[in-house]
Amino acid sequence: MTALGILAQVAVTLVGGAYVFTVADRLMSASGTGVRSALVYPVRRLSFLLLQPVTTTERPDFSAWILATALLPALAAVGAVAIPIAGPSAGGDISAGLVLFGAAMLVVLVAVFIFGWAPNSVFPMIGGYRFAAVVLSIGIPFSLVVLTTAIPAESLSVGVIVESQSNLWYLVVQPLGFVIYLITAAAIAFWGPFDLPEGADLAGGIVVEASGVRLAMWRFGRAALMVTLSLMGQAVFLGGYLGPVLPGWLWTVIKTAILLVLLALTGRTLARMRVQRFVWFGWVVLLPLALVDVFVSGWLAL
Amino acid sequence: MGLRARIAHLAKTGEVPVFAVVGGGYRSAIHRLRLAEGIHIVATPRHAAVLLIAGTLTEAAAESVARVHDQMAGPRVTVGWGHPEPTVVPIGARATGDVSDIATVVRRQFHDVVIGTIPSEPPLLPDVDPVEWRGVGPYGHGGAGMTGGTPYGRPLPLRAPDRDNLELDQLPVTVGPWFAGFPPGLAMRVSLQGDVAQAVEVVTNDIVSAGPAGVFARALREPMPIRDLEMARARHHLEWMADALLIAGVDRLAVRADRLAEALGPGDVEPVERLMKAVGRSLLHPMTLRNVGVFPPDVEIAGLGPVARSSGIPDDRRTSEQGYRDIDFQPVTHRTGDAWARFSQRAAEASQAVDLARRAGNRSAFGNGEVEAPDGLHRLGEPSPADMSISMLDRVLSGTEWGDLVTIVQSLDIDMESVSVGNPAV
Repeated sequence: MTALGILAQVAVTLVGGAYVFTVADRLMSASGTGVRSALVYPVRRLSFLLLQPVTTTERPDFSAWILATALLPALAAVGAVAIPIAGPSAGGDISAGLVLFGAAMLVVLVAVFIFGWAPNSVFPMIGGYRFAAVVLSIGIPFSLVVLTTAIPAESLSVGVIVESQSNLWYLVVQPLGFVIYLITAAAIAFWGPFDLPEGADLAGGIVVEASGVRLAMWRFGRAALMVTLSLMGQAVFLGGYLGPVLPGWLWTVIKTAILLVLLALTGRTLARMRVQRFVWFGWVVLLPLALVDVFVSGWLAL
Repeated sequence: MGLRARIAHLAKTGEVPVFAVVGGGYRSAIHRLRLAEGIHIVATPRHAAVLLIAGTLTEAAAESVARVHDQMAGPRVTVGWGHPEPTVVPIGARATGDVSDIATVVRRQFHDVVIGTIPSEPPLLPDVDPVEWRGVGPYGHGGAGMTGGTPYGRPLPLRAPDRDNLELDQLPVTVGPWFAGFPPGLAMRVSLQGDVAQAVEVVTNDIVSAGPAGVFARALREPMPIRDLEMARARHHLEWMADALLIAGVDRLAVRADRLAEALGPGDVEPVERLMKAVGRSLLHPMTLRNVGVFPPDVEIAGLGPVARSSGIPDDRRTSEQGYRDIDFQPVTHRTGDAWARFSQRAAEASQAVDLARRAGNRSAFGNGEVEAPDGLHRLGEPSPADMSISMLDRVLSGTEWGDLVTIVQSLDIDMESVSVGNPAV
């Protein structure tokens, strides 16, 4: 694939996925509107935000604010490059795609923290602080369960990991890893029930001061992040593009959409976790369980 | 058609983001407005296009409401709902009727301001720093007097030991009176260390004036039908639960609680219990409320109704009323005294209340200067439960994480309309 082709593929995937996610979330949100109005909701919402001017605050850090807004979708795109959509060769055929993905997802911490810090306002700042606590608590289990899928495949390339699931999905071999992955993925995308930086107790937290194009961009960035995380989830646990009858890309789309809907549903159904309890949960529950996942998978691979 | 007109054409029939400033007598009405189609009540004015000023406010509210107004990014309009003259800020359109009236007015004003047939409102306050900027450089590095003190009207963070005895910055901020996580009208000065509130002080204000007397206020002076009292209690508790669920991020259940409060009839015990089952499935207890807001034993909570009863104090003035004794009323209690106990206490009282309302017949109760209201015991000429709650806030909130602080304040069910002016604690 040419560089331009990869770029186009990533852009179409993220924009399309973000649309699907926004519609799914709308359908599950409180408003309980019909399917038709949910389908046009992203367009109406975007057009309203395009009409709004981008407001500013008293002495914000302008450049950091703009940078953070652009960084979030960029990180989602970097992560998505590593994931093959239709067939064995990953976007750019990256031999260590898993590492690239993991690194990009952990840098989300920087984007969110700066987005909270830059407006020089109290609730965004608390939101940024909270996200630092969140990612420090689940960064290790997240990386561990992603990397554990490389053990049976004996490769860090996502394409090879997908191919090695031709007999059995890793969901069956590493169910614990899959559950931990979904939990930590929701936390990295600051999505419910772990939407601590954007909680209602902060009146919206990091986005309190954001309006107009900035808010639209940030919302797109988060939706794109959810898409990238779901793409990776289906690639390393649900056999990616492998499947009977239908073409590979369609299997990727179906499996990604299932994960997106699942995440949207849990985010809307479960109450937000307190930050102290979340930190405890990350270190005391998820980290040991992730280590169990590593050891069991390693033992099975021997 | 130009590009802007095309975009406006798409946006004009969309959901209207409304920021609500809720004055006296309209807390319940806002809950019903949440259910109206095409209206989305948002938590921050930045995301809103319509500022809704509902109910009665005093002149002291003018500055804070103007500040909220100017934070709206635009296109923006202000709408009044049952907000009498003189209004606290200029109002573009108004309605006095019920929810469908105001929803129509809000949607029409939004439609008009988006397509540009009415202009977006200009700012009400001058856009200047509160005090002249005297720092040197874009971030004030190196200016004179930058170590401590107030170089430009904003105190710099001072250092203080945190709970682990580390010297960390403390940031003094004022939150309220229109912060979505607090009861409307409540404002606090908070010293924040990271996300921990190290010290809390309620700001003296008197900006929400009391609305028309409800059934409980009237029961202070004349006996009221138990049926009315208990249905009002059930609705109040369900709306309180909706607020708690909103803060906990389960908007779906909040809407369900509001919908139930709207449609509730005497004897509807089962829908309330079904709602509680759904709340259980949302993991509200283990994730958010367990062990939050347990008060030290020296904090006086007698007279705070559900708050006291959720800590095992079976203190309920209804037991001394003949009308309630006739229908065999027994107060419900919970033991743990945390935020979850207060939540399940109110749920249990709501389902008990609809049952009592069904069995009450035409019995009446109270009218002799005191009444057991949903937020506690009201007595003529005595401090209200809200006064008591406010006077203990500094003690029960100091040292709590911000999320817990909001949960605890909400769990006390403070009604700023019933705060007495001149309360020594305020």
